[in-house]
Amino acid sequence: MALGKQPAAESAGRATRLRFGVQFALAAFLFALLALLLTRLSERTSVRWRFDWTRGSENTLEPAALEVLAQLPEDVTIDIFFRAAEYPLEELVIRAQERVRRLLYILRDASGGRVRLVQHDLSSGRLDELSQTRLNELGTREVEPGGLLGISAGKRHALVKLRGDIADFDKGDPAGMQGVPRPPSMVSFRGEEALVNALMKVARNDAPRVLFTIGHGEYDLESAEFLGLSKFKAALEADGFVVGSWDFQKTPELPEDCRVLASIGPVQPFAPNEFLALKRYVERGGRFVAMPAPDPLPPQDSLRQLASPWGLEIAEKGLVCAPQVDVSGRPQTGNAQCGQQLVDQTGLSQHPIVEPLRRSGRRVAILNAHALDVGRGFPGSTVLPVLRAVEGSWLDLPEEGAKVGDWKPSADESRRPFVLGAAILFPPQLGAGAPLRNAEDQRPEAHVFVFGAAMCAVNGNFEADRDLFLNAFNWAAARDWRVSVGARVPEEHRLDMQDESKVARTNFALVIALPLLSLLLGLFTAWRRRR
Amino acid sequence: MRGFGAIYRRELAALFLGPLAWTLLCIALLLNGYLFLIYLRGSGGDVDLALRFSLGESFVFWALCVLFPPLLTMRMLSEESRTGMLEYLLTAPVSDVAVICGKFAAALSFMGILWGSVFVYAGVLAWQGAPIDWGVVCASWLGAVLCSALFCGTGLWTSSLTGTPVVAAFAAVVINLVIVLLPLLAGLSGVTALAIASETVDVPSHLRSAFVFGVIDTAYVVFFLAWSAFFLFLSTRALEARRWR
Repeated sequence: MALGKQPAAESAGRATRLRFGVQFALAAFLFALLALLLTRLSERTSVRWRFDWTRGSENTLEPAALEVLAQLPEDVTIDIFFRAAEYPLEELVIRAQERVRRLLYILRDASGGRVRLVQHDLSSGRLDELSQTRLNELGTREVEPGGLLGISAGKRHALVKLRGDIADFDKGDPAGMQGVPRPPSMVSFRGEEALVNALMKVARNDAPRVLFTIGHGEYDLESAEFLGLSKFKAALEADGFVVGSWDFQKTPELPEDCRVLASIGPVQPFAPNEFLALKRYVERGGRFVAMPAPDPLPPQDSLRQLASPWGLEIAEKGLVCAPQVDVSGRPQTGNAQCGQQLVDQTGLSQHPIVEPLRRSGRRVAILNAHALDVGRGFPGSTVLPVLRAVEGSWLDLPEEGAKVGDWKPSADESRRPFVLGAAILFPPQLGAGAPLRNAEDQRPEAHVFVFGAAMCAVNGNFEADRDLFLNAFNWAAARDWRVSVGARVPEEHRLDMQDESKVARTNFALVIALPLLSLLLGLFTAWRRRR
Repeated sequence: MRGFGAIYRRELAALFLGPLAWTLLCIALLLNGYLFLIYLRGSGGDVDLALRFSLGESFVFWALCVLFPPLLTMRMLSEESRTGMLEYLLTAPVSDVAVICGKFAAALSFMGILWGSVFVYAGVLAWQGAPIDWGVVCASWLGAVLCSALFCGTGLWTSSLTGTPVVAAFAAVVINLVIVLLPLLAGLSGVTALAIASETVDVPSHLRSAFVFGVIDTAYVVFFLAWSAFFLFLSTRALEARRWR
């Protein structure tokens, strides 16, 4: 009887165990699901709180920055490409990178999951294939010392460089080559402002239309050749503009949705009606970016005649030149290189177009520029020089029948720091037509930026002045996306490592006293237990 | 939770009356103190950076996090199961939850004491004249304790599954390693969706992006608590299952 019952009991036990096993697995699965759900729910902005326990609220974003994050229309990816800097900035750059990382974490966490961080490893000094591809997608090929951040949303992207955009460094003179040794230092750090502005830039949901004039010998917008504008076009598109061309022959009136009209390097005059249409568009409150080619301007219906009533005279002929310094430090003239110059902070004004460049100590490369003269425009207009040539520049006039001069200053050629770029603002003019309004700028106002050197915009030279051009188009389109966030200097918590006695006491306390104390306590406990 | 206090006191006493806890504490303090000084020297005396390395950003911190909790918890259930002590415990008037939570709290208390060494470090530095942001120290400590809670949970679970402490410790170390390396493994897989999904359970990043900077982020607190609770739940169920064997 008992023998007969045993298999049945075993079978019942196995079934019970199986039942409990299944119950256990199911319960574990449900609990895991619950934990996952809780984790995901807690990440929602509405139920997520961050308590900043630092003394100076160093981890709390400014209200302006929080507002930008709250209004992000789509997800943003931030690619981090940090690499080491050169001597003597290595340590300072690491510290700046650390601060940026911290800021990125705060941004990510405050964004409610809409900002994603991707870290790329450059510790070996080179990028892997995936990172290189990403870098190319972001519109650059290499990472300069210190590194950069690539901020992208959909097709739009912006690059923020650690050195220049986020922080400024002074290399100092640690070896004392020029007198008393001076350690390197971080001059400024404006990470929050730079990141928030870049976020705003890529996350804007407007797509202003930019049209380029064609048919007058302008540089070709589609051409990838040295003298083409394909890089210019790609940069504008990456910045959120919709780029196209305006052919007067096909559409005599400018399309109403044109936010900015650009004319880069025209060498032939505009047709009379075209000239009038252009003039009318700008004087109704349109936005215009003009860059004359290095050739002498046509005597009529050219950019010169267009800008003149607005208060800006473009020199008809001649190129702004500056002496070049040879290896021995002596100024040299008489060669085509005199047409090139680098305008540094002294030549950059505080206008929004160049202010970011000036502040970060960057220079603007100029090549074969026309001189500009600021005069008086319409009543209520403002004509501002934006950048000026270097001291000692002269206007090199062409020889008779030639396009260029001898690259040497002569008595009849004027010498001064010529204006090379100017910004004009004026209210819509009566008689030009109904004032133009655009969605973001309710007050109709003409914005004109004239830059004397169209050669700087071509593919072969574009990268040097990329930011200047993008700033100019954004200013013209009144895309006022700059948010001012005050730079904060975090408290430094440091032990004076120069004081040997302090270091020795710290060494003793941390490495000897504390472990020894725990060992003694352990021995004491063992001794007590044995007794 | 009847009997929680008694279990907790018993486990704590067992830990601190035995040589293992003191040995581990001494080794950890020696290692941590030495490395803290190296970080301090390397950063030119930057206290925040040294603290950050000590509690969240260094390899040694993660090594301690992965190894120590299993060493503490390996005996808690498996050893008792092997010696038969567990049977007495299970027949005592205490609930399974209290047994698990009491043991877990004891292990976590030890980890809290271990990571509490940063208060001593900060105190010593303050004594030497370095300004200390105590908010950062407290938040870093809390983060390290929460992170340890997760690993104590895994340790307790594996301990509840086997009667051999070494096997329990080894299994817990493997699980802890997987938890810590999960984002890295997901990244290496090259599958973007997997990498994004792993961000939710990215333990190192949760610690590094908030606590070590002096931020208490409720999302990360919930994360650590929820997943610690998950492993405690598994441990409780495993313990419960013993009654039916």
